[in-house]
Amino acid sequence: MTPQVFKARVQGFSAALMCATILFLVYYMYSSFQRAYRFCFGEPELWADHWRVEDAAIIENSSRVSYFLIWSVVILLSAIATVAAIHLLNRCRKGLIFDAGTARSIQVLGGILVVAMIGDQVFGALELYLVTQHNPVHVELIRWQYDPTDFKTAALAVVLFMFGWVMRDAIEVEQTNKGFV
Amino acid sequence: MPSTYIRRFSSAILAAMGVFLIYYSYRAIGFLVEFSFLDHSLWEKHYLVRGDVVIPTWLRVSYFMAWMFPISATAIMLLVTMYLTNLIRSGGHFSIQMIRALQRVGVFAVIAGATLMGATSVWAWMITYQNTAERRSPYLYYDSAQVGIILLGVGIFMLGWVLKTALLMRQENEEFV
Repeated sequence: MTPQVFKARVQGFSAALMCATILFLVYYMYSSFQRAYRFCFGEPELWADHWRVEDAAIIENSSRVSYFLIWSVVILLSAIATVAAIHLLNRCRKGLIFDAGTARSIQVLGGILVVAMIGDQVFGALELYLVTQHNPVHVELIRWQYDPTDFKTAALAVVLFMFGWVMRDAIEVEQTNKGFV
Repeated sequence: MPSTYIRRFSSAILAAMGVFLIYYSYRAIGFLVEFSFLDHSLWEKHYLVRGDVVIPTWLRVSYFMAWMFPISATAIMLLVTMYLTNLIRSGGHFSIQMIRALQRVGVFAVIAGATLMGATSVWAWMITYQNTAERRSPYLYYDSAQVGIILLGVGIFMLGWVLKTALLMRQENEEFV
């Protein structure tokens, strides 16, 4: 395979993957916000019928708004990570593979994914408290919920971040050496 | 050689990953052994189980094995991730060896995600296998977080493949010149 053929294949593949990721982003935003909206406002009985909510609980509008806003932050963080992945794919589509900008994109993707996983953990800790805060008898405390999937994703994201960092470092050193010669 | 900041950062991450690997393995295997073998009432009084059932040993062993696949795959994924982090920590250059390690991380992430999906898909079927009523069938369990790990693994593998091929081509050209 010649370098030109390889570059063309990478560009074609990246373009196809970019289109698929954009479609996924649209679907993810739509389905996530629809779910959050239905639970908080669209179908109020979903909250009232939650298995941890007591029958006498009356859910205030301010609680619904705050729950929706916190949930939205988590959705948006994941959406931003997807946008970072689209940005990286776009650089590959343009044929920019060994480039400091591409290395930075890998780093940004890893970093945002870590932030998204932290957001998910925070939301997980708050979720049951927010849902049960109007219970007359038992309100769940804010407490950390162990979710190994978040940790696994964060481990992969941190590796991406470090890999991008090393790659950027190597490219910058190479550019400095070339400039010096 | 990578900067001191990268090496310090990777040292901290390596330690954190080591702690998580031990905690994850201890907690996952500990619960699995207790549920499958040690405390029989956990299965027999499960909310999906109907009637007075006796769970045979072969079913307990099958359940244990079904869950050991994703647990082992996840542990190996974490070990490979730690290997790559250690390469960075020990001052390794950006090289083919590093890219191959990244690809391996991607492969094991896909295996870990896929086996986890497989185990969660047959979980309810195995739990209710001895039920006289309301037996569940195996079904494809979809969880966005598990699918996310598979997609991330595929992305990491592809990124490694592109970088590896590009780097090899560049080295070939430099040698030719």
